[in-house]
Amino acid sequence: MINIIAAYPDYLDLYGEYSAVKLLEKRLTGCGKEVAVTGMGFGTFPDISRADMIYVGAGTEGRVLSVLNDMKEHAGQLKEFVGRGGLLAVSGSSMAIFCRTVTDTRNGTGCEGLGLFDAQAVITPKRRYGELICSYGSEKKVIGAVNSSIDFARGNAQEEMFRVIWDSSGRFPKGTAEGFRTGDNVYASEITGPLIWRNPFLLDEIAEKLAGEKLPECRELWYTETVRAYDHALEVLMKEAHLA
Amino acid sequence: MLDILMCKLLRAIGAKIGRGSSLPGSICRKIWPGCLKTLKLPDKVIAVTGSNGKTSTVALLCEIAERAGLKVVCNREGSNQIEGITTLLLSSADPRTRRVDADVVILESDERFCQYTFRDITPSHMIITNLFRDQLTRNGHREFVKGELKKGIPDGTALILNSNEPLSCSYGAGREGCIYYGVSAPELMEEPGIQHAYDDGAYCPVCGGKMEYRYRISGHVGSFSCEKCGFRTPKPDHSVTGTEEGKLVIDGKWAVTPQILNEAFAQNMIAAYTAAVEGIGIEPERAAELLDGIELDNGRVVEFDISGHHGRFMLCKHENSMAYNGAISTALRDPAEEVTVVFIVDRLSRKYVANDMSWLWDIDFDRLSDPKVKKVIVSGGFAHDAAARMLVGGVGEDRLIIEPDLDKMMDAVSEESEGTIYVMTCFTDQYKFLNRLKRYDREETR
Repeated sequence: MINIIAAYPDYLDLYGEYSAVKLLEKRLTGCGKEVAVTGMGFGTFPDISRADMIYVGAGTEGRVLSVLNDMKEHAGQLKEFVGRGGLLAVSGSSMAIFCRTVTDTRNGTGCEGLGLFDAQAVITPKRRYGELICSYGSEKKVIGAVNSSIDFARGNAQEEMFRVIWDSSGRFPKGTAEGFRTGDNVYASEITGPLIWRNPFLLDEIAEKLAGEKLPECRELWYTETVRAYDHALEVLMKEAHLA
Repeated sequence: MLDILMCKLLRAIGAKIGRGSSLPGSICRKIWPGCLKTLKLPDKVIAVTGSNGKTSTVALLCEIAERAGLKVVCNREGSNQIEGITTLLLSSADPRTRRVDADVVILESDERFCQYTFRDITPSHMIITNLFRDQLTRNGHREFVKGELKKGIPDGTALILNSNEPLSCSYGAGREGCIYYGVSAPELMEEPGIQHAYDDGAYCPVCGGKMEYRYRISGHVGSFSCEKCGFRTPKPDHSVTGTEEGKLVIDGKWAVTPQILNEAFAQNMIAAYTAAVEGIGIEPERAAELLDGIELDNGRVVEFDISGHHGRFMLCKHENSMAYNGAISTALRDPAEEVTVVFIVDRLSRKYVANDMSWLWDIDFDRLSDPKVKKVIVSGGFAHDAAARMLVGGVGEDRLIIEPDLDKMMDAVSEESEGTIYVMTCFTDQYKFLNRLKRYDREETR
């Protein structure tokens, strides 16, 4: 049984984030794997000692701060979870929850984050929207959007997730590191889309990590359409970036 | 004086080249930045803002006021940012007196731009229809928009709020003199148990506590209450209390015929009625008489026939799930036993570059797995995204036709449809269907 925990799914629910867990479940059950999805919410912190993955989707800045506040008392358990190799995937502005500090320049306040990432999050009054093409590994291209008013300052010890090839907003210059990765089990990116829907190879990668084995190629129509959608979107973005 | 004369001249020239609505105001503001401040406006200035329903509410309110014999200045054709509003007001003003020649001014205003428009003019009333997820790529999320709009609400303006929509209704928390409207007609309530893709009414916008609903009209619009802080649907000053033989009953007394009998249009009608009564001062019975049977020529719904099937084109808005959810509900409530749903998404906007497709997950496409829906046809450049979303949502492969090519889509609509056809798309993509439909009509006639 693969145990996935969806963190605050009805609260951190921007940009179709709920579908990330749904897609993982579909990809895994399609290969005969058993999957159990449990919700984590305010006042209901489940037993994560047997969880394989915790997924934290994107939310508004205000909601991210509320979740951070709620998760603080469980910071030790979360660190233990990550320390034993549990998969933590974080999307969009929710990356702030796991930074060392979070500063809110809108009202001059600040607080400590959960400290899983060597980074600082700064909430600004200015929202930016950009569409990105990033490189992942040596040959894969990741696409998606960043729609956020949080800036992240990375510490020296923090690994990156992706490297920016093009950003329509100009916020991330070419070659900039994007997202945080820690070892082989903590993935975090500001990019939404949802990320693993827009980039089906990432869906496969995470599903295989959870399954602990290489999965057979998915031939179901929903997956084929997802791949076609990726091909089309990449082509459109490459043209917009004058890279085609 | 010069600003008004120049604006009138530029508007006349601009009208000939199709740039008469915003450009004159933009130029005048550059030369005379304070030009709006010194205009003399009538006592009744009604602003209308919010995510959905602005244009229809403005059109209904204008119609009521004009039918009442009032002289109305209104930007009903759009141009709802400060430049367009500057053009409208300057070109409606007398150059000598600077008085806007109207009994009432009605202004549709973009919710993010109220902070600029209403820095220089103070509306007597402001209708805030709702704050929905709307063009998140352009506008940002609802909480962000709420903060932006708040900067544009002047202290002296009386708010007219939708008592059924928690986030926009929360502007009234602790503010004196707010006027509320609502819908409580049982016939317009959502069936209990409908699962939506998301619930923006799950948490209280005031304290963050869990919310409960007594009933829902659509999605998170309904009769809500927060168990933690007590924030709840206020008692509306005016409401749609029922339906009667295809009419909406207002305040339990007045029956009015709507152009479309659905929950979204009912909200627009009661918003316009409330503003007519409370903002303009028209007697309630008279306002209901004037509202009765208004037909807006806005192309929101186009009836058609193709290959022996009746069809209904429903104008929606990309990146706005509530608009599509309303169209899906209408299709599922159609008295026909079978329906075909056509969804076209080819381009997100004519104004800005966006390829984000995450909003597809916010639409209740899962409801298209209803056995009444015999065929679902998806088309346009993003047809594969839409298809993937629908398949994950439970739409059967045997009922789904994926046709990115728009011409071939028309063939599929003509040849594969079953029952009544519902075509849903955005104004950005509407003519990709409507123009082809005209061509198809000609070919059928031949």
